[in-house]
Amino acid sequence: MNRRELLKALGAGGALALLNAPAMAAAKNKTAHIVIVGGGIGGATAAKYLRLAAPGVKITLVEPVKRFITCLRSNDVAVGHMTLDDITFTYDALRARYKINVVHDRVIGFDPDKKTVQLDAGGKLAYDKLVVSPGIDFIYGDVEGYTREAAETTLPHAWKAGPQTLLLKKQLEAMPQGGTFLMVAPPNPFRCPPGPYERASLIAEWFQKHNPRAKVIILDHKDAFTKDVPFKKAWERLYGFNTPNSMIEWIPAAKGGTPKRVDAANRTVIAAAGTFKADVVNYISPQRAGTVAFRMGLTNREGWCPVNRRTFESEIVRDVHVIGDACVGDSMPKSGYSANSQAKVAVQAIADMLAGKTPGEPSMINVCYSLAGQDYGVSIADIFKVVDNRIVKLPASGVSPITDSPAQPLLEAVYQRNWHRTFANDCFA
Amino acid sequence: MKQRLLVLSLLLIAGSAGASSTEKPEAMPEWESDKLELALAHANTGNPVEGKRLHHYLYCSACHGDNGESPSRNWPSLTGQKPDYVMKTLLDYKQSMRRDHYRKAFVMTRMAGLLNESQMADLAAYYAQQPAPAIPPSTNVKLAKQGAKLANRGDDKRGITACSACHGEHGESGVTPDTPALAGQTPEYFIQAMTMYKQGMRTSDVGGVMRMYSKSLTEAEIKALAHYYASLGSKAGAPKP
Ligand SMILES: Cc1cc2nc3c(=O)[nH]c(=O)nc-3n(C[C@H](O)[C@H](O)[C@H](O)COP(=O)(O)OP(=O)(O)OC[C@H]3O[C@@H](n4cnc5c(N)ncnc54)[C@H](O)[C@@H]3O)c2cc1C
Ligand code: HEC
Ligand code: HEC
Repeated sequence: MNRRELLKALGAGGALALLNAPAMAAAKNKTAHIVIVGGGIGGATAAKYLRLAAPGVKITLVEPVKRFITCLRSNDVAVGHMTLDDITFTYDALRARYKINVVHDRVIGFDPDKKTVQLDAGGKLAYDKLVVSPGIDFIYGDVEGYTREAAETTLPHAWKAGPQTLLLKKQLEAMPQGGTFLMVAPPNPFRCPPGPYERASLIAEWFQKHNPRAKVIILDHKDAFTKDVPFKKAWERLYGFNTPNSMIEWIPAAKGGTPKRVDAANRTVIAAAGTFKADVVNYISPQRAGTVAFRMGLTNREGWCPVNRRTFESEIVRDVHVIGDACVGDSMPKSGYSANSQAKVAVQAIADMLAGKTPGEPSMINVCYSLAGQDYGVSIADIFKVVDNRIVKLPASGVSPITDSPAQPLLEAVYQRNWHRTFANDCFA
Repeated sequence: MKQRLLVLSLLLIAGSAGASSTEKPEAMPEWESDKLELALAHANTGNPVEGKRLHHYLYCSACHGDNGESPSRNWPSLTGQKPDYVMKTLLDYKQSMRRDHYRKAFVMTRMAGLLNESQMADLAAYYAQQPAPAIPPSTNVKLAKQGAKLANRGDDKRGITACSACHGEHGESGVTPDTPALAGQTPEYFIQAMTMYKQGMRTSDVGGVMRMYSKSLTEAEIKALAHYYASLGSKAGAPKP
């Protein structure tokens, strides 16, 4: 039995009585070491805000890439309104301003008893608390013919920004006039619920200019999607949705949209609704928590990491907190905003725990802005609380209202742009 | 709905406060004075009732306040402004003649793009009808005192005409109807406007008057002038219609 288990067995009160004064002093003097796995939206925010919440601790961030490309606004990159550089951030500010030890490496192993993580380059890091924010990875082979190789070469998902985004862009540009762009929208839950529909919109808008007879077809695993009411309204207003000349066709599961088989070489997807041969296929794969979470044994049967919703501490391994896309977020969507919000809650809980305090009741926010066109924004804003260890939405706020004022969607598009800049700074600067 | 807008505009505030850039500006189109005169011919024929409706319908109120008096340091007040100036400004935006923090005034360029000329005149009529803005909360009395002299006497040595010669003794506008009123204007906006003239970033001043008068002003002087004109706002606060 180690000391921790002893404490647990005795219960907090009894344990305190047993500890003698010198031991307490020693525990206080030792600088706690918090290791963060993954320097994406969740991990970067956690590093910065942990420094603010617990100025004295040692913080190490482990992230393989030196320049992190955010997915946010990567749909704009796919249609050439922004470049990858515009959505790329470095770890300079985290190092210089927040004194974070950033290690560019990959975590490949984990010892929960000794409380160490193993680095790819060799060596181990011992932690007092571990924060894990590895994002998502993809499930291949859910339908016959859809493989990792197909995704990497012919049917880009472009659901992690970078080379995949550029591959999609290149394919769009090479499309013949009057061609077909086919998207497969993933089943729930997945990263960025409005993302597929924003992408379909921006591609339709791009076609209006560059390929006016081209079409967008969405095969969907679902019958509904987030903000679908304002999205469909926008499609009606901008792309002739629900008319014979619509540039966008959306085929929900109920109408046979769920893909059954893929013929990658011929860029063909077979569903109950028919056989769809396209010029570009954007197959957005089904998703699960980032692979490292599986390696660490943090996932449940559905492939996501169950956590205590008030602290984001793993329900499977103690002293490990999982945030962002990888965790089970209940009604909180898997978005950058959510990851940022969860990071702040988790590091405050860690700071409280280190100080011997009980973490408070969290309140979290998600605001998702999407573009249905460059001058047409739709948004959703929600506030969340934890009730019976479930994250629930409060009735306030909600989805963009539909008004006939042309200023309303335009302003939402403006907010979107301002938000993106501010948000990236909140995470990385 | 109110709450949504609040959330959204709070985010926008955060967004605009940090904006700055060192990029070199691209050249902007400028007015020829005869064309401007023609464009403003109908500036005074607007319908204020329709203007009021548009102010809310097009969400101008979300930023500029319920009746055009700015609730925040982020946006200029429009109340008590002269119709010609408002009309001209909206045309400026629509034609991408103004920048905002060294970029084109992104929001206003888009907003003005939604308006035709008769709607611009309606809005202008509505703002002109509203009482001049109250003294903004951020106004600094000490700075305001420092600014008074320069505003009312100018500086012969540097060839700066008294601001009041054009903007009116009480900042209520004056010589020409397309000279803006400055009384009660948000100081932050005032400073931004002056700095942009000084740096040649705002070129909407026909003939370059403001670029000329701002050229030799120091940052401290601009700040003092901003607080002086802010202090000329109405004391009681504008009654809301
Ligand atoms: C097209 C698109 C548009 C989007 N738009 C928006 C938007 O407008 N607003 C919004 O809020 N969200 C948006 N999102 C969602 C957002 O990108 C994600 O929800 C967010 O990035 C999740 O943060 P995270 O920290 O969980 O994961 P990530 O940001 O993906 O970070 C995970 C990090 O972990 C690292 N990592 C993985 N494995 C290891 C390992 N073994 N060791 C060390 N590090 C590791 C990875 O390199 C990566 O940097 C969008 C997503 C897409 C695809
Ligand atoms: C999202 C916020 C926002 C909205 C909505 C908005 N404005 Fe503005 N407005 C601004 C900002 C910011 C400026 C200053 C920009 C600059 O520096 O050029 C401005 C400037 C102006 C000016 C120029 C003021 C001056 O003194 O030169 C006028 C006139 C104006 N707006 C009218 C309108 C009207 C009319 C509407 C509705 C159709 C509107 N605005 C909607 C933010 C907004
Ligand atoms: C010769 C007349 C003249 C003088 C003198 C003058 N101005 Fe102006 N000013 C104008 C005109 C005309 C405009 C409108 C220009 C435009 O449309 O951009 C203007 C615009 C401004 C604006 C922008 C207002 C807004 O709402 O955007 C500010 C601020 C301002 N002047 C301050 C000053 C100050 C301070 C001085 C004295 C140092 C001064 N002006 C002197 C004519 C003058």
